[in-house]
Amino acid sequence: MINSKNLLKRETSFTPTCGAMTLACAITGFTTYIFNSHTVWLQWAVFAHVITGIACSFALLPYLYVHFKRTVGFRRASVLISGLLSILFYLGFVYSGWHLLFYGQLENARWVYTIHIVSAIVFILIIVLHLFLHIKQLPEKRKQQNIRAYPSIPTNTLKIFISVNIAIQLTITFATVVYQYNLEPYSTTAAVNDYQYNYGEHRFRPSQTETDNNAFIDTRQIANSQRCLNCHEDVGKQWISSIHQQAASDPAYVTNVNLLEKNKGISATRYCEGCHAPVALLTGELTPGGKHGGIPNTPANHEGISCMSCHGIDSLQHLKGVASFKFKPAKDYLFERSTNPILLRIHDLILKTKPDQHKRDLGKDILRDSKICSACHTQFMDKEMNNWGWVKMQDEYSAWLKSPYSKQHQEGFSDDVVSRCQDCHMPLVSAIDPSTNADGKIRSHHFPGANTFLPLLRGDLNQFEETKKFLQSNKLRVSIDKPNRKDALQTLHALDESLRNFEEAPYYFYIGETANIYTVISNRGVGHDFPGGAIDINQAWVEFLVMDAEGSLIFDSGLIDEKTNIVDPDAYFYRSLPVDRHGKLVWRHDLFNMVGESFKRVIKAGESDIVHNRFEIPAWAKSPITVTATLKYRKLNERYAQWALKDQYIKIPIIDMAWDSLDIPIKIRKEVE
Amino acid sequence: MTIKNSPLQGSALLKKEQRYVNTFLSLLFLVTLNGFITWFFNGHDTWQQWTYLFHTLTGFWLVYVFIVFAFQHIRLAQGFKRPGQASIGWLSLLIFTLVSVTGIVIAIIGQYEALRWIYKLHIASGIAVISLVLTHLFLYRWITNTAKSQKIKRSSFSQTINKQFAFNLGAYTAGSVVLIFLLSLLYDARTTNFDDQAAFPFQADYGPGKFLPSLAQTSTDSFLDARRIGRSEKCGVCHSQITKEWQSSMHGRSASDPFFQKNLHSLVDKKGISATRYCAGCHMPIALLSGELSSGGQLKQGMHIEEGVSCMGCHGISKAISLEGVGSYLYQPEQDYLFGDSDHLVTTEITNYLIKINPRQHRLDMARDVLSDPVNCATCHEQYIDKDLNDWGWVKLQSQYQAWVEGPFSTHSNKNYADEKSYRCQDCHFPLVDSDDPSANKDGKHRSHRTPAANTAVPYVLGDLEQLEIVTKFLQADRLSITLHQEKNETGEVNVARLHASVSSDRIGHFFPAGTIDINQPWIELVVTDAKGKDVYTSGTINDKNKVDKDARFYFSSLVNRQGKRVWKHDLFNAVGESYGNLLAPGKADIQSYEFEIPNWAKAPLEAKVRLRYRKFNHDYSSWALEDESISLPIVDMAEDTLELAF
Repeated sequence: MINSKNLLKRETSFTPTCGAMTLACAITGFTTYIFNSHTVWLQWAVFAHVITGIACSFALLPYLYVHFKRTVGFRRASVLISGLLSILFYLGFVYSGWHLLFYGQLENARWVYTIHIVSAIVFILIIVLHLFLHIKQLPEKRKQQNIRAYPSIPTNTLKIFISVNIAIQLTITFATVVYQYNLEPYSTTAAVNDYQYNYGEHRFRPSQTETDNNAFIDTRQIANSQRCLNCHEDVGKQWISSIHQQAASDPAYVTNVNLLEKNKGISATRYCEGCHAPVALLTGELTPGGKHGGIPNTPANHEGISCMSCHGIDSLQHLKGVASFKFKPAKDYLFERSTNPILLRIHDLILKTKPDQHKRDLGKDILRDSKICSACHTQFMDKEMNNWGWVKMQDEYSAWLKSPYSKQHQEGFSDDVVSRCQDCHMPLVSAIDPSTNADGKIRSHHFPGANTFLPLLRGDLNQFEETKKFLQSNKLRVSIDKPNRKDALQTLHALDESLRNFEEAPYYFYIGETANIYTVISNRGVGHDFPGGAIDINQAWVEFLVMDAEGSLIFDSGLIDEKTNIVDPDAYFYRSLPVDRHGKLVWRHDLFNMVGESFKRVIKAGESDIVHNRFEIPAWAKSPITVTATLKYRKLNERYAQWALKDQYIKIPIIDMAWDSLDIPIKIRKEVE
Repeated sequence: MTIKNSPLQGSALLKKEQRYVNTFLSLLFLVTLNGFITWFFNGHDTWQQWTYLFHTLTGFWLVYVFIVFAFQHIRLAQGFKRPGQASIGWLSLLIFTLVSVTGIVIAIIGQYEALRWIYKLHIASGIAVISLVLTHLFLYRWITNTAKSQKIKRSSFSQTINKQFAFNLGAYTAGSVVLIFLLSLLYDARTTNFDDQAAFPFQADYGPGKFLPSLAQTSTDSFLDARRIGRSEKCGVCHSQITKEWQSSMHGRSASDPFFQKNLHSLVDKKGISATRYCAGCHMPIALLSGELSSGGQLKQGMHIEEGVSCMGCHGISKAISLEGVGSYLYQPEQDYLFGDSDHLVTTEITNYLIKINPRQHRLDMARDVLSDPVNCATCHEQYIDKDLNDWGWVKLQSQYQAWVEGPFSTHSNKNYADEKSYRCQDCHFPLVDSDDPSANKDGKHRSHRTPAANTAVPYVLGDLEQLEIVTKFLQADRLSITLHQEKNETGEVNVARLHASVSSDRIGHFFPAGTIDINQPWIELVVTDAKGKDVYTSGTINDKNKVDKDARFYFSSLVNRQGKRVWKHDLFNAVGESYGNLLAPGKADIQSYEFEIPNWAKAPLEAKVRLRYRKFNHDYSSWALEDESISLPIVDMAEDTLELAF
């Protein structure tokens, strides 16, 4: 009996604090659950919920233990069962609560959040039921004894409950007021004074960019990608390796943007920087006195296409490209701009436990749409830049629309599934990240494409190998057509006259004959034209070699000069040759001089091209001859590379994208036919 | 406040509880024992299968007894002031509920592939419950033994678990062992309903091998009862969706196919029934393996015709003997569940129920690894014919597997220039579809057994429009592409146009065409029209007799007989070689060139339209096979391109 009195005493001492904490935890919890707005007040409530939640999970533990120990043996089954159930649900919301505290709301573990909400609500309901059943089932004997119905709840409990909770709510309100009072608005003016409007009234022209507030953007709202890595480390590291991150610091770009600045002034670089250095464009650096993205040690140069440059895109202005996106900054979480490590921890904590706004801002549907890529991977130039008129340049998006992959064209002859830009250039990879899907995968931010030289300049062999693999995996195919002879007579058997019509006869060449070889290059796995991007400086061509049985070269096309590293100028190229108004080749990628193209050869998605080679079979050739056709690709032709990369010049590797070879017998023509 | 904590206080309750505790504990022991046996011993012996049934039945009984007992026990024991015991007791209740619910779910719906966690939970919670109950009992004993109060001490186990317990326990266990033993003895003593003798006296026309010239073999090296290979409708009881798909598929129709029937009977007429073994390994495995194909056998109807490549026709393959094809598989019949050999209504229910609750052996037999391997397909989709049939020598016919190995999809060759992932035969021809089948995977999908490929003729002739549409869609899904090119006029002849059509095989894992390459008919059609829509040039158009322009570019293999005449009736036993074989290898391309004069009446612009067309069976063959000149089999356009000509 003494024992149970002690227990009662201990329990009584726990009740007020325990209960007050549980109530506070419940109130803040419900507030954050019901109100889904993203106000400062609500974020403080989230923070208060985390604190009271931790307190509640600890405080209830000894209470439940003592309470169970004291009351076990009371012959009241319904009270007992409701009590036991409440312990079960207590475990449910505490486990899920701590899980949320440590890992945040993981994309592939939404059930944790669901369990937290459900078990917390059920817990509260059961506690109410438990208290009610206790009164209902109170034995007659007890009623007669002059003991309070709830002996372990002291009389001042209600007072403590109310005062603690009012205090907590007041603290939240106070923090809200103080925080908001101290908040400075973001800058909406240009980073450089006297911003010049050289291309009409629009601040970003000739780039097609818009901002949500029709003003400049504060650097902190578009740069600061390093901060994203706090939670998204794997994705961030992939992005650092990617070409997107090097969009501004790429030495070839730096050369070109400097050339443009020299020729047309810094304001003209807005044309390039919308896609290459959006940080510089949107913050208003691109005016005399400012620094463009090609200048080292500027935020625009470091960030390239920063995280927010894509994730901050709200909508597209049109599908003609040249940075035709509308930028909308994300809403801040508490202490977004702080530099204090503790406050930043609080920021991250609130973000990960309640990421609703973060997802709304950074996980917009448009990111999953092929369209978003068209903002920068479609390009034109108009009179304001080239003093000539509208010239169409790369257009990966339209090419994709017309391809069998978009399902917008030739539906009868395509697959059921649409393959978007993202499906090839952002393949699913395993990663540790809060946003991984149920299989533990995220979309790779390595953005494998066709740029092989930037990774090599940095010594990033991993990105290089990945790019190489990407270029070689079932993208294009080469197939040498067998030169079947119509005049071949080679069978020992009598053959029905009607069957001789078919031309699948043997193939061989006679000495001294002119050989014609047709080779099919098919664009099997590229979702847009091959090659894509800057096809005036990218270099794709067919190397065609014919050797006899002893390895002596009979014919070649597309070989590289060992001294100059330049491809045989007579090779069969896939490229465009832009020209200026004097009809001269624009080879420096100085597009502002370009007025048109004198030559363009690409292979459309799902189509093929035929290459014709003609050569003589010399008398010395030993049978059989081997014909090899290889589709070669070099990111940057040699002339441009030497000019643009300057002291950073490297020999850019040549990637074999596909090849085929064929052995053809050689015969000596019989004198008697 | 006083608390009554002597167990004797509730003596009325105690008596009630005593009525159930013996039964409960004895049953608990029995069910656990049976459960452990089914879990530990992985065999498939008769006694083990009886044990599964026994475990299920006694399990239900235990659940009932437990509910009654638990109710009484809680009423009795809730007054005891023993926090530890109370916790363990309540926890056991929770976990016992878990083991019961999972057990009942398995007993009712069976073990679904995607719901393996239910089975795992059943085992885990079963083990947990036993440990908890034992702890509960021992703690009770310890408490009563160490209590100071004599009253409590006296109330040791004997209070609730009296002497009769030992007897009960022994009786239940012994009873069940004897029962299972007797049932097994009786079952094993009955004679099997399977008759593994040849259906008709064996004719050794092709040597002593039972199945030659087919390369098929059986693991028992004997003929097998036809019912061991057929009876696919039995599979449909649980796998109804898959079975329905299979019935529409070419596999399900491989023997009843009217075209095949025609060739089959013409072979019987020419060479006798034993020659049909060559076809039967792949087209009628039931007939071949049951010994139907000797004089006396009939090939018009019956299970061996209606089922074609039955479920077991593939699922009974245990390995590929070689990659030569012509049925080069080893057939190993499944290990039967109880009464698997019977067709009786009640016993079939028992068989199915056993498979459902413990499909371990069923999975081992039906989901052999070879099924997910392309070599499985090679056993029938590779083909040759040899001297014993054509009296000439070895002639290679269709070769899907070899082409796949050498192509870019297998990652066996040219690895650098392919995707990292290999695409197996199954990935295209058994695509994943939505499913509520017991074997569906976690995403609720199974591999479609419609086996979409290139046979539009049979679904068309039989009026199976759904299958026809699926096959057509399959053929058109970006498989091939065709591009038209105009050659620059360098010769100076102003009115001559030179066109090249390049056809690339983009997403076909094997040769195009495949299968019956001698009678399948893909070709290129080119139509050049002027601005007024008048034909300037045509190649590969179809005439009103349903025949394709014979000068068109065809992709097929032209087989010839020893007189140099074309073998056009698919009478392969006459084939000694091919005069023309133009097939597109996977990933390869082909160029067809056209040269024509542009007439002076042509109005610019000229438009050229090229189509790659495909007809399952050329008209000569299909009108012969169906004995109907007017037959018009569907033509599927697989790719097209248009080009405005410069001139």
